[in-house]
Amino acid sequence: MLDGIDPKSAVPIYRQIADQLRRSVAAGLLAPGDRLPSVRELAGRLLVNPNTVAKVYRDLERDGLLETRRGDGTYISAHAAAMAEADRQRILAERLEAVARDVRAFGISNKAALGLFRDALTNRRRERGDSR
Amino acid sequence: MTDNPYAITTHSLTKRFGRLAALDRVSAHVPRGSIYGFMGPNGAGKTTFVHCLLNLIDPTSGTAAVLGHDVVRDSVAVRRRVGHVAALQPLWDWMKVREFAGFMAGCYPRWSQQTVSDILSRVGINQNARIQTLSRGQRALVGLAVAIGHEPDVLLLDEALTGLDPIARREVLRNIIEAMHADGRTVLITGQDIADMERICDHIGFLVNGRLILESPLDDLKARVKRVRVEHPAESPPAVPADALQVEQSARETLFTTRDCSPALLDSLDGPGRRVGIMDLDLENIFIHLAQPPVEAIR
Amino acid sequence: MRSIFLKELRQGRPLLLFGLALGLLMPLLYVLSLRISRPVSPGEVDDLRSKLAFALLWLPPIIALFGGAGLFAAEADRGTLPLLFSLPVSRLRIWFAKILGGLTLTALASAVLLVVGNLLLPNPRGEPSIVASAYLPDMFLWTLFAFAVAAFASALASHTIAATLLAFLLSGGLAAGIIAITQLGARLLGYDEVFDLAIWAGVAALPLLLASALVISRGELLRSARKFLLGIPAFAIALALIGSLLIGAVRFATRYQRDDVERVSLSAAGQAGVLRSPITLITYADPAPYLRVSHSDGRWRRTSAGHDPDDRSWPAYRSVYSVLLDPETGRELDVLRLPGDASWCTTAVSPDGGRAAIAYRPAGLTWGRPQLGNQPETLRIVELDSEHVLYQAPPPNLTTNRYTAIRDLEWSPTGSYLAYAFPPRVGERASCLHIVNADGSQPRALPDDAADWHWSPTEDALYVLDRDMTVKRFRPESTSNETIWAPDPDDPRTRRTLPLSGISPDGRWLVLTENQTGAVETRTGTAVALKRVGLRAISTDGKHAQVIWSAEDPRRSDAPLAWSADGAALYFVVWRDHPSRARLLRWRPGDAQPETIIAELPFNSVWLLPVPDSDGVLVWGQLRDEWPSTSQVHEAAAFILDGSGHRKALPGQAAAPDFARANSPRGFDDQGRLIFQPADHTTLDSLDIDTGKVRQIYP
Repeated sequence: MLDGIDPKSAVPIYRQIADQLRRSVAAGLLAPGDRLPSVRELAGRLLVNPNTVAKVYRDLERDGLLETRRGDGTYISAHAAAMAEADRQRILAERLEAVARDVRAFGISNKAALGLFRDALTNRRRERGDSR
Repeated sequence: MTDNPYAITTHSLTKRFGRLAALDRVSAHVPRGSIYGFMGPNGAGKTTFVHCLLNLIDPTSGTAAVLGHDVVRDSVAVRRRVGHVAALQPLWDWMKVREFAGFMAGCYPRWSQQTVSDILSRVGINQNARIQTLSRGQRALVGLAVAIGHEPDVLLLDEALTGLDPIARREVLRNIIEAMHADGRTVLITGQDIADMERICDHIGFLVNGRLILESPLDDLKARVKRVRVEHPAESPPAVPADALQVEQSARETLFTTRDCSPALLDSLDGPGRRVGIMDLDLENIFIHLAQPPVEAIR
Repeated sequence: MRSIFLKELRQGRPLLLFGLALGLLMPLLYVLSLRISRPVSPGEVDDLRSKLAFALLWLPPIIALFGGAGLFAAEADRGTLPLLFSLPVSRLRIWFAKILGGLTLTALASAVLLVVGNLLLPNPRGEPSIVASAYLPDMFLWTLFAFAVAAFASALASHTIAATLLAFLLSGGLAAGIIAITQLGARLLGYDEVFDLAIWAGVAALPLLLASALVISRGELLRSARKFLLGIPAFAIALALIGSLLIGAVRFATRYQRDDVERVSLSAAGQAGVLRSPITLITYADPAPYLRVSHSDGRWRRTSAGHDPDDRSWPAYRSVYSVLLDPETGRELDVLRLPGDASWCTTAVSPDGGRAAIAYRPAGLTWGRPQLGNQPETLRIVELDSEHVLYQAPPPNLTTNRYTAIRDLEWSPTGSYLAYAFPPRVGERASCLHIVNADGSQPRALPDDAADWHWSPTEDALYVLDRDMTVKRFRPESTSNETIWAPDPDDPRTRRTLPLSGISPDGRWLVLTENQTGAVETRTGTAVALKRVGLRAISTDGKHAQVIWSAEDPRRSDAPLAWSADGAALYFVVWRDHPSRARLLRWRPGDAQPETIIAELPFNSVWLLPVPDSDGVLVWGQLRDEWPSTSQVHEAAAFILDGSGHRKALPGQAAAPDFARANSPRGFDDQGRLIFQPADHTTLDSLDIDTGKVRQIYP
């Protein structure tokens, strides 16, 4: 679910945690109704600033991914599934942005780049067997 | 007092030992509820700063206030609400852990024996053991437990992770984080363990040769301090900004570090035949680049 | 703060063990000494035991030194100072809690030491080995001092061992310094001993503690050398302040207060003959004798020094003052503080009443005993109206003699010179005569030893009897002398010693008393038991010499004699066979034989005082139990004998028989009043011979 955080990355820690949570929901690892660890617990487990975790929870709650039940904890909300699809696409788009930057930086042509992408997809399909 | 956003403020705090200025006009601001990392090389003055806050030493000039209390005039009030852990701080070896906790309990207005016991039992420290039988890591945890046990509003950790094995270090970090669960509790942590600081700190201050050369939220810092690389033709090197640091220039490549990376800056560097790229810097490198030479020599 | 105090107690438990160990040490030494020296008598054994028990009393300060040295330096040593100072307790409270803890531990450890030591020292007679509870206050003060020194050292040093060493050094140095201060204070204040050493040690404890508090509360983590700059001046200033306060308090408490007079005595010069009034010289003592401890018969006893046998509380100080008093107005003209007993002061007032000479010994290096110090005698000449000191110095020619006193101060009749005798060596009976001008200039010694001497009553000439029994006359302006009379080498009588006993008021006759033995009995020398065998009169022009009286068998030599005021007759007493029977005789110049005026005076103590401006003499006799101590008087009588031999009773209440019994005369002032004192010497009174009015002059 939640892997280690890379403190050295340029990506702020709260973004990393938020992204990991979204990815977990998108990948179905976290389902609506699942209870998340408390701010304290999660901060302790990840060894990060609890303010950071609190901020993540606040942002994700504002976005609708999480809901807080008073006295009960934080849960994946019911809308999560619906958001998942949008998230998935957004995450992919972000990833592709990064790739695009590299393509430009290396001076590779669009055609060559697209070819590489198609190859990558083909390889993934082979690994997984059927397509999703 | 409660609407002051800062838990600790110092105003031009200076401490001289003879002619040496261990602290040189330090004006720091530690926001409430934050985990503030105070970084700097050996001898930069971090411990002196903490000692000033606790009024173990008197400042030469300048003022400091902790939770609204002046550190010199109201030093007892300050220490009532501040927990202090120092690296390898000797404790009274002849005491049992329980006795030590009891002694501390008698000195502070608030005390949570439960907190102390939780911290100690989680690492298997027997409260009936004499302190002299404990390992270095266990002693650090005893010191931390007792510092947290009186429910301080501010926790001062002076190189609290130094000299600890990884397991003890992890425990210390965990306990610090768990201690932050109450609203408004502030932590000031000094040290050189940049990796750990990077994890848990949300504010950073750089102290070099007694001067506070930078103070900023960590995320901001990482967003703004970047290494810029410009590939350019040999005949037209770019104009490097005046406040650029660690400038390296070769025939076709110019590298420098900027404190304030913005699209405007990047645009100004762009041009025909040029390619501008930015590289992220982790905290360690930010520190090295910002602390002008001879940082390497200091180490 | 309580937490810290309790921690100190727990932390310092080893000190109790130390006390126990020391407590076992003394009995161990006792057993070892017995084996080594094998004393024989129970007295020796007991003496050993007493010494060790006494030594026990000096161990608590050692405990205190260790107890105090670890207070702060140990924390610095261990590195726990930042821990301690990070507590929400002010530095001063931390200091206080530690001091209190240290004191408590020291007290407990000392108690253990004393109890164990005393229980274990063998005690055959069942007496408590703790000697002299009189010394417990000393021990307490020294322990407090040692603790304070150690606490101070602990605040200055950063390591326990250094602190302990410093504590030992400081306490030794300070103790030496305190001894020096005590001596200095004694000099300045004129006491034999300013304060008991223990009190000074106790006084020093306070500034030491204050200085240590200052260093702890202002010093920065006790690491910098600044703490020395703080601590040492703080201690010095505090000690000076407290010391001054204490000295001031003692000075204030022992200041000269007329109402505190306990005992009045006239100086030697004021007792004999006619007083040169209007000034009388008296001394008095402050009623506060020392408390001392003595060891006798194997027991320790508390005794008190001085005249008062009552025990007074400890500590107590004694003041003796020499007061120049105008008996007419009662005004004190000069007050001089003297050490010790009143006897070490001799005074004389000049004939015109303008100046007074006082010989005394300044405060010497003694320890509370009213004895001689080893400072030389000092002569002081004071101008009475202005109270200006004209001269103050030891006599010239002072060689190795530090133990004798100036005696027999006497002004010349014009008041231009002062002469006095000063024996050159201890035990010397012959004296060196010194002269000094009235304004204090030209002090000089006469070359020859003088066995006895007098000023002439009419002119500035000295009549001196030297070692060869030759009578010479000196004039102060010249160095030469003339021989008036020399004994006949063939006359066996003249091989006896012949002191000058009196010179007639008109200056024409000298009287020599002849005493049997080889020693010289003079006014200046020490007394040896002598027997009087005769009286001889010599005229000062050297032309006449006559034996007035000689005895068949020798009599008591101290019989008084006096010339009448008009110089017409010499009265003298001769003791009869029975020691309490006296005979009064009278000789007029020109008579071949003396005349018996009163055949029997049933007294063993007689005063003869010439009544001024008359031909009469006051006779005052007392019969006492023993002579000369101040014992009970059984019979007494006082009357005036006129020139024709008639007795006249004293006027008024002085006529009552009890008057003569209860009082003793001192002399007449020049107003014709008789100065007298009651037996207990608490007051000085005067009796007007004409009106009979009695007045208390002093206090």
